[in-house]
Order: sequence, then C-alpha cells, then structure tokens
Amino acid sequence: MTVDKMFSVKGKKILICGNDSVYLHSIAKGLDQAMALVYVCGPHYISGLNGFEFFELQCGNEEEMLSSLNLIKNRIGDIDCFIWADMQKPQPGWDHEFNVIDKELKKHMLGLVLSVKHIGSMMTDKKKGSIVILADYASLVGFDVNNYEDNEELFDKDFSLEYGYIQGGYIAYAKQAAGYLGQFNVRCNVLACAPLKGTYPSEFEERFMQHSHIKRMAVKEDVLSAVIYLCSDASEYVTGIVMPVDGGYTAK
Amino acid sequence: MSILQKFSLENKVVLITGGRQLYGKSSSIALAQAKATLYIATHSIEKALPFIDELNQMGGTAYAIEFDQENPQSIKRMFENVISKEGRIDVFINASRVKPGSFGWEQKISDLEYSIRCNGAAFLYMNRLVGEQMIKQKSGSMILFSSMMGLVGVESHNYDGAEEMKKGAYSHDYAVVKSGVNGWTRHAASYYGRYGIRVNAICPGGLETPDMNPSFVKNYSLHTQLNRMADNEDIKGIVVFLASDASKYVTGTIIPVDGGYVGI
Repeated sequence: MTVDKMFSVKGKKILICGNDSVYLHSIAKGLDQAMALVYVCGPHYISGLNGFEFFELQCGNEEEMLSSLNLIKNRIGDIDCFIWADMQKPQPGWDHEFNVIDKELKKHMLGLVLSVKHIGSMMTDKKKGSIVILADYASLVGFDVNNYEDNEELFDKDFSLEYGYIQGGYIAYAKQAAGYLGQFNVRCNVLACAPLKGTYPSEFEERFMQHSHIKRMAVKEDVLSAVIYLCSDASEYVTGIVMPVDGGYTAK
Repeated sequence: MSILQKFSLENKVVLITGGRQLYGKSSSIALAQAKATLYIATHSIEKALPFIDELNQMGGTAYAIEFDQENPQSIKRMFENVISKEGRIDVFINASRVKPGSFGWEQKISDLEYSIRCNGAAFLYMNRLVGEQMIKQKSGSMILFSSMMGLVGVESHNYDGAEEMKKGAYSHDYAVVKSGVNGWTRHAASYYGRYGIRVNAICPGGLETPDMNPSFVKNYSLHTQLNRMADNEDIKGIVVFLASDASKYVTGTIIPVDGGYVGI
C-alpha cells in the first residue's frame, strides 16, 4: 500500500458527535475535503455545517440512542469511524452543589460511554472500525493557574469542578473500550488537544506558548491531521493510546 | 527532626471513607499505627465499633462517624461533625466505592448512572466540601483512591481458567470513574496548590483475597513485575507517606502501587 493510500479517508463513512465547537466544524469540513463521507450527530442541531447530514442523537438515554442509531444505520449503513467531539465545558466555577455535579458528569460521561458501547458494537460486525475521542490537554495535566492571571472569568470557566474529572475519565475509558473492542479489530484512541489559536485571550496564549516546546498555538490543521491519522489505515495497529496535539505542552 | 519522625501523624486529624474494607481497612490500621486522630466514615456505626476498638487497642485514637455516600446531606453532616469536634481536617482519604448491580460490557445504564452518582458526583462533592475547610486552614492533604484500572485497560488473559470472574471485566463505570479520579487529581492539585493543599491519587493493583480463583491469581501475577498480587500490607506505606509531612512537596501525582503491573 502506498503511503498516500494508507492515509486516505476517501469514501470512509465518518460519524461525528458533538456540539457547536470550532473543533467539530473544522474536523467535519476537513474530512469532507479529504473525501470522506461525513455525517454529524448530537443532541442539538449544529449550525454552520450546511450540506452535512445531521442526525439527532440523545446521549443521555439508552433507548432513544439505540433508536437513533438504528435510523443512522438504515440511512448510511456501516460506520467506519466515529468521532466523539464534545468539547463543551461544564458549568463554570468550583463550588457546585451535588445535583449540579451529578448532572454535569452524566451529561458528558454517559453520552461518551453509550456512544462508544453501541457504535463500537455496531462496528464489531464488520470487524473493522476506529473510534476517536477528542479530549482537552487537561485530560493529561492540570491547568496552570498562572496562565489565568487577571482573568477570573476564564479561570472559572476552565477550573470548573467537574472538568478534570470528565476529561480524565475519557483516558482510561478509551483504554478499556480498546481492550474489549480489540478482539473485533475495532480501535479506540484519544486525542488530547491544546486550545486552538484565537480561542483564548492573547495574554493566555503568550503564557501557554512560553510553556510549550513549539512556540505557537494549535491550529485547526494540527488537530485535523491527527484525526485523519487515527481514522485512516495508517494507524491500524494503534489502539488505546492518548495522543497529545499540544506543541509539547504536556511534555514538560 | 529525624527523617522517620516526618512520617508521624501525631496531632493530625484524618478522615477516611471506605476505611473498613479491603485497602481502606489496611489504610486505617496504618493510620492508627502512625498515631493519627482517625475518623472512619461508615454507613453503620454499630458495625464499625469492633474495628474501632481494634484500632484503639493498637494504640490509635479512632472514631466512627456516620455517612451515606448516596445522600449529599449526610456527606455534609459528616464533615460538619468532624470539624465541630476537631476544628480541622488535615487529611482526607476518599477510599469508598459503591458497587453497581451489573458489570461488564453489557452493564445496565441504570447501574452506570448510579455509579456515576455515587462514585463520581459524591466523590467530587466530598472533595469540594473538605477543600473548603482546608482552604480556611491553608493546608491539607487529599488522598484519592483510584485504581490501576484508571491507567490501563483489561488484560483478557488474566481470566483464562477463571471465566466466572470475567463477567466483572470491561465494566463501563469502573474505568470511567477511576480514570476520572486521576484526571481530577491533577486538575484539583492545580486549583488547591495556591492554598497549600496537596491532592494525590493512589492506583492500587489487584488485592489477593482467599476466595480468588487460583488461575486468575497466577495469570495476574505473571503480568506484574514482582510476580504476585497485592497483599494487605502493600498499601500502608503510601497512605502514611501521602498523609504525612514527609510528602509535603508531593502533589498532583498518580501513584501506582501495583507490583509493576502497568509497567509492562
């Protein structure tokens, strides 16, 4: 197989689940340009992706999810790749009451687990498939409080009580799923992404870059390239990993 | 001060959840031996009393305190009670785990939800509440019980010849909940560091129990670098170390105590 063919996602049916985030938009558009057949799903319609078929997928309810997945399967057939791109942050702040914590954990963690369980099981029939979970670099390290100096609002947003737990939870869950699905040649990996350029204030970006090996912020293509690698046959022996796409931020 | 004095927990108020079972029980014994003032949070004070007596006979100062992990009001009361008696909590050890009713890849969603509520939301709520007290003190150590299953996936061959145990493998809740503990440890260590509060996680390996299938014990042991499963003594050192001033510059760590299981 030539290297070009190895990385090709042409004709692969890729289902992306998530919410209205820059990551999801750029990944959907980038995969489309690479000639994959891209479908989008999530609990709510995602604006700005005209031309992509959208399926409603309620992630907090197993019966509704199974019914939605059957619809998707009837409509598009077997799914080659599934991308979990829930990059929405939980409620800002630390002093959350029990019910808020419970709600936030269920919103983000149940959705992931049910999606991986059922879409992974759908892939097992075909004995091939790739699941890619998009996570924050916070799944690997704690945020640096010094990056947030004089920006209380941003601090509260990132230092949401539940955020580290949710993001951290993605890591071993992917390994667990990789362990089970591996016998069916279905892979499951995590991408731990740095913030994209322009999504944080410039003061934050400067501090972030000072701590990175590569002195720039991530751009859409950085994440897209890693997604293509994990969706393509170039990574067919890669499963259960966490790949940081962060300019080396978490490497020191 | 001699180096070994740094490991003493004398005059430290320690609260532990899950302190009567398995690793939690070994931890409680070690904490009592290290002279901590120890509060063991328990569902049933009556059931806990013989163990409390045992700890006190060892020279410890131990008390039982009521707590229900499924009830946020009870959680809040537990902290209020310890603080009203002692005025502070120096060390909080979050070692309790509620087992859901079903396991494995086909685990029921209701059990997954239950586990996320009790082992996820209650876990965070407890840490958040003790964190409030530790912020006032400008000191404290949180020790969070994770698992080596929060670091790696299941080795299916561990169950060769022990198929009855395999039904418990690949449970959705366990991996996501324990991995969450690891992620939160780093997140919270960043948050609490400015207040002098340390947050660390312990990832124990499998504890050998008398009723365990010998095939599983053998397979599992082969997967470790020390060629054995954990015993009741193995957890004691790390718990006392993380609770004591000997670890005062240690925070945000995820420490496997697993005989090298995740190292190979």
